[in-house]
Amino acid sequence: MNAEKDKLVIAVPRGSLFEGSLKLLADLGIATDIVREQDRRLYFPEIGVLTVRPTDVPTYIEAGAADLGITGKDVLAEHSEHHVCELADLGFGPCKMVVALKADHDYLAQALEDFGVVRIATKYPRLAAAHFHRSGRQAEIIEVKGSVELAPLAGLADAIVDLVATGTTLRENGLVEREHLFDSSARLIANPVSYRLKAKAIDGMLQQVHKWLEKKVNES
Amino acid sequence: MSSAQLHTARSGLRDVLPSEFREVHAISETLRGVFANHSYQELRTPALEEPDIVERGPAGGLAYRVVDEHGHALALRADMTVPIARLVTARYGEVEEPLRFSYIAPVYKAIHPQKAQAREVLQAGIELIGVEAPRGIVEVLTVLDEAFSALGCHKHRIGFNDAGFVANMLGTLDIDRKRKARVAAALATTDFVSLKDDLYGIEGGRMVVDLLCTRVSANQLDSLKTSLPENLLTAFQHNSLGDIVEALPQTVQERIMIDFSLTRNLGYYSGPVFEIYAPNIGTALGGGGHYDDLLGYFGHSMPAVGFALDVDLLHKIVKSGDTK
Repeated sequence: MNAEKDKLVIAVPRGSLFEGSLKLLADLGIATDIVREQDRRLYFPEIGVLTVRPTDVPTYIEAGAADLGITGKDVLAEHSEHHVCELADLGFGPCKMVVALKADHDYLAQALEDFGVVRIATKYPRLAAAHFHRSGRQAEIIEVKGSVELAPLAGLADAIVDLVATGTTLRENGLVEREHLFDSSARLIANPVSYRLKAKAIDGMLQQVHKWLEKKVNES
Repeated sequence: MSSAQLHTARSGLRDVLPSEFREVHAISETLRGVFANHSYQELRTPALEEPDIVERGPAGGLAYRVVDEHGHALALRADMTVPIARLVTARYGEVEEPLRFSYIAPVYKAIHPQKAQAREVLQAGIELIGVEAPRGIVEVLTVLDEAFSALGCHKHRIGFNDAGFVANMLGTLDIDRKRKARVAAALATTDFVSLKDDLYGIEGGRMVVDLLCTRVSANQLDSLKTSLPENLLTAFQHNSLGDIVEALPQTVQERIMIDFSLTRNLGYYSGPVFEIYAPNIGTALGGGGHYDDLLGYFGHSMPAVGFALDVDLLHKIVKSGDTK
């Protein structure tokens, strides 16, 4: 948290939400050009911005290392142990959390029939476990760090739980979506202490964000 | 050379070495002095309690458990409010004169791994039993204010709400049980996006959500009231928030920030609740409120109010010098 009263520090996610986040901040009047120009630099105190991996955003926010942050709903849902305030749905980075498997056969039903348990590869072990638990199917969750689509092809798992934006990667690997968990998009979050101590600055920014969102809706 | 293995404390636990001990001790002594000045008598309870007693507190089912020599389970206390509620009902029965207790003691919390959280937290606090709101909470907040002044800390703010008002507000809406549960979960996790998704479409819902997202200082409360529609104004007048704020001394009033979403999810707070914040510290320094129903659970329903402060966080602030 910044010592200066009501000056906000914002954690911006690198990765797929990076462009959308910088565009939003630029539209709100924050000079984000230097973030684009100095690609390897992580900390920009002169404009109150730090850049981190999307999954690390809640960690920085919860600890108060930044007041506000942008990250995906998928990250917040998987890491719900982080105590943060979820302030706004920013709309960009739309995607959905799905169960996907090879298109040629219902491997989930087959595995349940043959072994009474399904093997699920995912980067979201808690969400995947909760989803299968809710539907009364026993699942062994296999955590992988990336290229989840490979798991059913190589025989590591019967299906995957993953975030899908356009579905191109699924298609190119011969996978199809079979179950839909929830829709995700970028969220604006806040540290709970900043949310109260810097209420004025945060509310001011939120107002700008809502105007920005309305303008987006009108444009489309 | 010996190749003996070196041992440090487990993650979340730490040794307090003499220099830190001296500083923390000085802070503890200052707090003791303030509590004693207001007739709060210090006491001590066992670190180990019956598991079902500890489960009434903030740990819920996540308390640390140990097994005694006969194989019986005991649990480490997760706060001091629950043990004090237990002992008050067991030893003082029907309280005629108000009871005032203080404590400085370690409590034990479950942690999430790799988040630099403390398993053992030194808490300092007071409990006032037998005085109703607003008088009780006004006294407690006054002692809190003096404690901070005595430590030379002048930058803190107090987030304040009446948990009863949240229930009253939601009571003005026509929502089914399922939605109510979702709304409660959203409030508990301060997920205002889900709250909007669930309530904006409902008649009067937008007004309630906007109010839940509102944080105002004490002197803005009157103008806020005039902007409320009739049903929410009635709901507001059915709780003690306004009366308490009005009854607070000016110095405390100036520190108050009313946040209508604040509920403190500890399970036992029933009415007015508060949390203490300081700049550059990402978590609340402590908090408190009324917990009348907790004493009822132990056998004698009585008005009760108190607060607990994290002494290590106070130490951090004092040491940082960011206090004026």
